[in-house]
Amino acid sequence: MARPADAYPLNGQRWASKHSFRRWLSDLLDKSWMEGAVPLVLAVILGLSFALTTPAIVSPGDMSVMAGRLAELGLLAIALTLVLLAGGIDLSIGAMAGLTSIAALVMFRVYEMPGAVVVPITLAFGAILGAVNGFFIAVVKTRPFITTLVTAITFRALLQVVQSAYSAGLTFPRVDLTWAFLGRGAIAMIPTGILILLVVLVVVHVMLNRSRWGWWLKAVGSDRRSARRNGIPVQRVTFLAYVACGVLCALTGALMAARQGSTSASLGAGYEIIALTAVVLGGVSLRGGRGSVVRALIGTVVVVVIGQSIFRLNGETAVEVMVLAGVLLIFAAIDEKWGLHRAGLAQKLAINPFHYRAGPLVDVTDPSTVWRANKELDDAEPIGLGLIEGPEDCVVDDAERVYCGDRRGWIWRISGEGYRDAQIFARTGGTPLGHVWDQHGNLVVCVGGIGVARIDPTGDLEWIATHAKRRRFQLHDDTAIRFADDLDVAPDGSIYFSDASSRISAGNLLQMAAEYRPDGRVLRIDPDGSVDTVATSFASANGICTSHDGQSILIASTLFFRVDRLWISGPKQGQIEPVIENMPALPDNINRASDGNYWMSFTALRTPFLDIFLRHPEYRRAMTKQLPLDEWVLPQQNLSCVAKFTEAGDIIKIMWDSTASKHPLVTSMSEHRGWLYIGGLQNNRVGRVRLDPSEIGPIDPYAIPGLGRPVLPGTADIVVPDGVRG
Amino acid sequence: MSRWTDLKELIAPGSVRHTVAPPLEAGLRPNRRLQDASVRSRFAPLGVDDVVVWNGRAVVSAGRAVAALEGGEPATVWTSDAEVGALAVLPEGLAMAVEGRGIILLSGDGSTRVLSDEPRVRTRVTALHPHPDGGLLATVGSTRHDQWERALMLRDRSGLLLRIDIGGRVDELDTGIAWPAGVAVEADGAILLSVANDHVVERRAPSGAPATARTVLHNLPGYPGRLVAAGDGTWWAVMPRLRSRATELMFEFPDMVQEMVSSTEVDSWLVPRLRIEVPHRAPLQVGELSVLGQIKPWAPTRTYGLAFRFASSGQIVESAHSRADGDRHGATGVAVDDEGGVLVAVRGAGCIVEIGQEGVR
Repeated sequence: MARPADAYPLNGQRWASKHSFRRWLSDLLDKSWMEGAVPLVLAVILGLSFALTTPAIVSPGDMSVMAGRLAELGLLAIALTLVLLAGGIDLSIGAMAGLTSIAALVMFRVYEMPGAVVVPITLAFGAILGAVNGFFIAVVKTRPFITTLVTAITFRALLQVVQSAYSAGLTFPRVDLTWAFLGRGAIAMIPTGILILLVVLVVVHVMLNRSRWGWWLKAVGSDRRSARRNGIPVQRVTFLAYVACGVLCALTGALMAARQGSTSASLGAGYEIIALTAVVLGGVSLRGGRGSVVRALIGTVVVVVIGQSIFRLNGETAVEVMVLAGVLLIFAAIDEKWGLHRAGLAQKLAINPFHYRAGPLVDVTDPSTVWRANKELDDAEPIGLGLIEGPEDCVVDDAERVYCGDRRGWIWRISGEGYRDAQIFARTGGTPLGHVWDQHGNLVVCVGGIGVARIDPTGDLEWIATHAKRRRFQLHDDTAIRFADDLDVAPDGSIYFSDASSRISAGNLLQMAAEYRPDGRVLRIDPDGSVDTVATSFASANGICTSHDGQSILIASTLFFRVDRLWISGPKQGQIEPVIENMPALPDNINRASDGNYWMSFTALRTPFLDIFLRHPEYRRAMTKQLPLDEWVLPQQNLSCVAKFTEAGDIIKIMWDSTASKHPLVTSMSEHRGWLYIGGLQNNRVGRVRLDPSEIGPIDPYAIPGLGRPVLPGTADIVVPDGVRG
Repeated sequence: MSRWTDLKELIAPGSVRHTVAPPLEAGLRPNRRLQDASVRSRFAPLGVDDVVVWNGRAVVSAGRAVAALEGGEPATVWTSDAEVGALAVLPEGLAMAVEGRGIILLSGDGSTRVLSDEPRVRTRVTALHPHPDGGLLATVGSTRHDQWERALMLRDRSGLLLRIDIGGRVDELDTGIAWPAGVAVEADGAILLSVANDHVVERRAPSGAPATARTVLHNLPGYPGRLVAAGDGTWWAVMPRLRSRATELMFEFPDMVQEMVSSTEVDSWLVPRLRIEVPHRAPLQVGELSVLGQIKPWAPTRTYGLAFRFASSGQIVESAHSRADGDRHGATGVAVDDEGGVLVAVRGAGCIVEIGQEGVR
């Protein structure tokens, strides 16, 4: 796929205005990974600054010490991450690690069990300790903070009891292969502890992100109530999180026992604060539900580096704890504020009005211009009056039945004498906008908010475009088709359609009018079904029309008052060039006329104030923030008209509704058998006016250039064989 | 607005204050009384300005003429070569503010004399009222700008409160007022003054000194205009235009105001108006959109019709409205006739209407 054509240079606006830093920042902040990324980046910078200022820590001896600490603290950090993700906290991890470590040593040294037996029993013991926490928190529903604080004290007291009871037997070391491998072994130069950590990391990471239990865990942590309402067994998930935490603490305990063999009663003391610091540095939210074990491990690396640096600089453990506590406080504050305000900040930065300099404004009330007042639409025959709401576009079939959209998502088919028979032909579920007949006589409709639908003559609907390929190097995800607006069929059977904004959906039309950014694009549905962006940077890409010769597509850029031409074949293929610029009105749909010209509707008039308003984005930003939607300023949308223009872009005729009440807003027109049918997004009717015979040419506007006229529904009802025709 | 305020608002939204026009509520709760009022007489749009009751007849200033309403058809009483604006009834006759000429006194026999053609009263006289000690009180909207819209957007404060004695001598009671648009005298001689662009009606000592001003109505949702006694200690007033938040927001962006004022005509500005003459050039707000052929009565509107009665205590007793979906917009004059009927000169629509009594259905 070729790079899409960029229409921005045609607009004559400042290049600097094309991109908005605020919007870029908003897009960036809106990414969910930003929640953890900022604390993590800060933490890594902090760790690096410590590491670089104390080169001593990269010596092999220090590396080995750090590896051992990393293995133990890393496992604790993963354990803590699990409970934090579930929306809880566990302050007893240090005590659990210490208690299980002593228990392992007792089994190994006093009862002289083999290492291969000691480890599973230790893990089971950890599971029991975790289950105690889990029982109180998940079943009895005590507060996690106070519960684990109490269990931490209890476990530590138990540790002292065990330690004093077995102190005599604990002092004799024993040799055991499993035990030695666990404590001092290595595979391919990597210490066993680190290997175990990596295995646990991968397993837990996959479980969290790819297993049902992991998703449930995050759901419970994000919002307990809605997790319960979605049928998640909150109690079981929480309980299991604490059990898993206990098991991982026991694994740490076993590693500590094998590596250090320490029998101190203060074993594992203070580890919970260090692990908590590591986890918070890694951007795991204390508010629950957000975080990852990988980031927690990076946080652990930072903590270990800081610890070792301080040890090298000062040698005091107390200083290390003090520094880590300070870091913990700062990062907890960052986590809290950042987590709370990130999305709000992104939203505040999202609307960025564009500085648009419009050219000189033609006064449409000046009788010497082609725009002079007339009453050509005043006597339009109403169709569907009182029945339809907001027919943006309409087409007519061979039985003179009118098909038009409705803001409630329906497509009407109105027929019969005086158009009294109306039925809902199809239901789209979105906002039906542009209509066109394809080469097979199907009705193809742009549906704002969804995409493009093909409706066969029986009314069956099939979506032919609901998303496009994502463009490369875009922070903003433009996969969704948010505002499909108008469309036409090209000679190769492909369908070109406009997406008025790749960011704002059809329901937020007014935001688009306030922001005025060239976010619109033109997409192409290939006959093979693929959807690609072919041109970008239109300010509300709207009307789409295949030219009479089939070589180009006309594109109306509503907010920039212009029509451009995209060449789709011939020597200029892929290029865009202007057709009409600086109109005094906002163009909407474009359709072919029977005399070789084009019809174009105008949805609103430019006003002198609008031109000033567009040059003052700061006013518009304040307007979107301070004024209720009803007081936002718009172009003059209660007056609009229909124009006819030539291939060269000269407007040769204007038709007004001087009453400004029947068709105050004209968004489309369709010529069929000497009649011009008029639709409007806010109107309560479709109108039709009989065209003067001098204006009617030999071309059928419904014939697709290069493909001929499709067989439309209703043909069979009225077709007369050639021989019979008089 | 500065970047600093932007930042401040981003961090602590409660710390920044913005002007907000109050809603129409309590005594000003919208109704259709002005819209449904019976028409006494029709003129061209913008073709009528003030109304008074003189010798038992309603007399209106209609373009370059003064006409009396008897029965239905207006009878021209006097014509001029310039626009006639504010009117006041003196024992000596009818005082008329004629644009560019001064204050002219029309006697009951049809003869006229120039009461004063002093430069200060020759132009932009917004209201006249008889002074209890003889002569007139007059207000001049601005000494710099002819158009109210321009005075509003440029925050002009050059209006005058004047006393004109019957000999034609002009005394300045106060200067530097933000478009005074109505004046009346209470029973004790105190002066009631509408200061349109400050959105207040205030009471002043008979001397008119600014130090004696006490607000009667403050922070009104519109720009008050002419005042007339209702006879029972209350006052009828008109509100030719309502305030708009979109307009007031522009005051935070002086560059934009300057650009609008210097490069475009008043009829295309985003300011309250008496009438939208050429909609093709007029800005539009979202609520004003015609949807399915309907314009909502609550739409933010640049034109509105409103007359209201208030007590000296500051309570608004009753009001008569013509809302966004109506057309009786831009009420500029009000008078109470001898039977107690209330006549309103609706300038935007060009008609004189008589509004029914409160509670009469």
